[in-house]
Amino acid sequence: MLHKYIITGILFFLVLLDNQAQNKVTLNGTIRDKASGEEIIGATIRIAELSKIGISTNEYGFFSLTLEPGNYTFTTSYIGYEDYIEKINLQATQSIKWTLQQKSQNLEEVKIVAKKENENITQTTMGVEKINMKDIAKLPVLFGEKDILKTIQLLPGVKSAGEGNSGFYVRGGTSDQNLILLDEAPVYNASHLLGFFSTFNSDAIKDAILIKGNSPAQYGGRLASVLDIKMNEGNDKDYHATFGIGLISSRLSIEGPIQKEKSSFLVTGRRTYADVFYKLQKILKIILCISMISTQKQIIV
Amino acid sequence: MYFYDLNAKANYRLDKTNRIFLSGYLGRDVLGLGDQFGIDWGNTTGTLRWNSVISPKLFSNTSLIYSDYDYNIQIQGDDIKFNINSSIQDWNLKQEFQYFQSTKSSWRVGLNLIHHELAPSRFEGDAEVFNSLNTVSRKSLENALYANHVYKLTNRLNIDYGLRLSVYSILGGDTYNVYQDGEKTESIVLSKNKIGKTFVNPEPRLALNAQLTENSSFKVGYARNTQNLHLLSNSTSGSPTDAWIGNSYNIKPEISDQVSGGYFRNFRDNEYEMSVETYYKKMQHQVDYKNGADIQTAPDVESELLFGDGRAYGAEFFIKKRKGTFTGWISYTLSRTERKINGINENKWYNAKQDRTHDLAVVASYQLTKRWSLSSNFVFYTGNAVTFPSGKYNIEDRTIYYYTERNGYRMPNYHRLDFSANYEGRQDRKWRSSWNFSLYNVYGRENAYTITFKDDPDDPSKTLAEQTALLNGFLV
Repeated sequence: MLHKYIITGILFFLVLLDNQAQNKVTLNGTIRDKASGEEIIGATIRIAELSKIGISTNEYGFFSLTLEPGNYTFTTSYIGYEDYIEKINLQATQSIKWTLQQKSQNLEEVKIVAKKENENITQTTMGVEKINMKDIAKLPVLFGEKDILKTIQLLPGVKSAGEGNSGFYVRGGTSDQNLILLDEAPVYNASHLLGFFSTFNSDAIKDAILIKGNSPAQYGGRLASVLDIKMNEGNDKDYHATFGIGLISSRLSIEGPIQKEKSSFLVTGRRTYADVFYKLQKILKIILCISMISTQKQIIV
Repeated sequence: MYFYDLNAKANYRLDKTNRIFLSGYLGRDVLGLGDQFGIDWGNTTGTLRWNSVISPKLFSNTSLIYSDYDYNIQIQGDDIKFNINSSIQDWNLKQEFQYFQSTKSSWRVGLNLIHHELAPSRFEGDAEVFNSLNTVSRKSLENALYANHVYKLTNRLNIDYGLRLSVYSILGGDTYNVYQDGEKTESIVLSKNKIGKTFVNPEPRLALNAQLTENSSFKVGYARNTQNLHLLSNSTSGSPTDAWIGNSYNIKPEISDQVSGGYFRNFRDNEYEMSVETYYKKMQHQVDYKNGADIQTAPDVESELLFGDGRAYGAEFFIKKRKGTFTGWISYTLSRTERKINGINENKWYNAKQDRTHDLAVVASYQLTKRWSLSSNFVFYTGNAVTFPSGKYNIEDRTIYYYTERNGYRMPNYHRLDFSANYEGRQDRKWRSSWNFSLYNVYGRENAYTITFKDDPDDPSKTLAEQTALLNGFLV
């Protein structure tokens, strides 16, 4: 009985594989940021001639499209970037390396162009939240620290574990039922300072997605959710330094090529100086409105 | 009291089709109270990854991952001095192939092998007494094999399905006790590296998307997840000293089955995005403490645990404005989460501590000028379910509280409004700057952080409930 199912399964698989016509050709490659050379995760590639076909780059910025030979117009797009359009007469399998340019920071130059931005409609998996790092930058923050774990708590189905806490509950799960991955490595305790800050320095984060329970089979080991965070790779063209000064901590990151367009590095560090502050405050007797205010209320029961 | 963290990453393109990445994270918190007491904790992770394009349609990723979390408590008194160490350390090997078969079909097949080493609350000390509490580290293997297929059935119907086979094995090197109603019934001695009890769990996953129009779709999904590591926590918010514990002869893998469905719709040329999702989740083998559990000094914490079922259901509403000078979103969740565990609340369903009836977030951003923008968010949620004493009695001038119901009370509702102003500095070739000014808890709501009970000094037969609030609003 069982082997009958297995044979049926194998046959089904063979029929599926046979589906691919013999004379098809493949276009594959990577999509990168023009300025930094970083691979873009989830950039979409659409073909003007085949309106129903569109694919996204995978978590390493790679894509592969298998088509009938012919002339195609490929449009590559990603949020916050200018579209890139290229016409290719595709006759044989080939690899490409396309780059996208970031939209200018100046608002008036941002043209609102009608285009496909309905990924939330077309993607199959449900309960997936893609966290836009630019959204995070503008939200009100505690002590000047942007925090991805605080931002996801503002999404539906995600609840904060308490005041100032970076712990979160997804769809009735406890905080240990969330799988938190940083470059594929599980992070067992994602909080600093008893939960007031998360361990993720937003300067180092390239991309983050949250899946609320309906995760594809590559994720496992936790009941409630997956938060998959990918770190920046580092600029492989020029050297850059970024620093941020907050009220209780400062951060610095340095990135650049090791060998131009071949290898790159990124180092990001962060340290709080509440301890230093505390000592200064004692010596100088400066009353700062930053100190934690704690009140007590009493109710007789 | 301070923390620091460091992220580092490097990558190298070997040739056109091969690339190597090395990334690492190191973070540490240090908290000290004078010379007598100190605690520090932190994570360390390292990932070595190799991407390879084997053929134009076949992509491979191999990762070797190290992950460690540990904490350390030092207590030094006049005549005692001891350390408590706890750690969880993983070595993880992942191999995944992604096959882009056609524009309609793509596959993902992979293998994941993890070696865990958990050292729960190891005492090291000068004082002889603490040596008796020594426990050795426990090792286990968590392996998984999976396959996933994304297929376009028709132009309007997509399916994403897969199967994950999770296999968890206890590795020998320690003695495992079996408990029946809190009484030890059996001791299992497993010699080093011998494979003990193994738990096998197939986890089917399925998601379907029916695209109704260009701007709307209906999605349904089902997923089973299992969890082999459990965090023992006795506080709502979690603490760095909560210990992870693996499956054992008492603790079975936690299992959840979730079905969900949702309607997604975009308006006005994708300027507005809207969704309604509902879910129902059934959970098995949830872990909770016994009533009056002794978690700090019990020789084996497993004797203090109870196991049971959980269920969670709810509806999530979301609307977002994505373009223009005014952007933002509103998200609202109506939900319920309950547990049913033999030995708690007369074996009836009760509210889990993470149960929240209402949860609302409003986020708004306004681009004032080219450089200035304003943002604000408002949150409201129902207070956590908590256990408060229902009465008290006196023994030898000491007040003893007694508890009749687990999670029978609620913390007060939580709400808060924050503001921020952002300034984007002038950008030239070399410099770019931005400023963020935030006001946290604008109207100074005193949200309860903890509620504790004590005798009323004027009339000891009465009880005072004392509410502590943190972060009552300040400029940051």
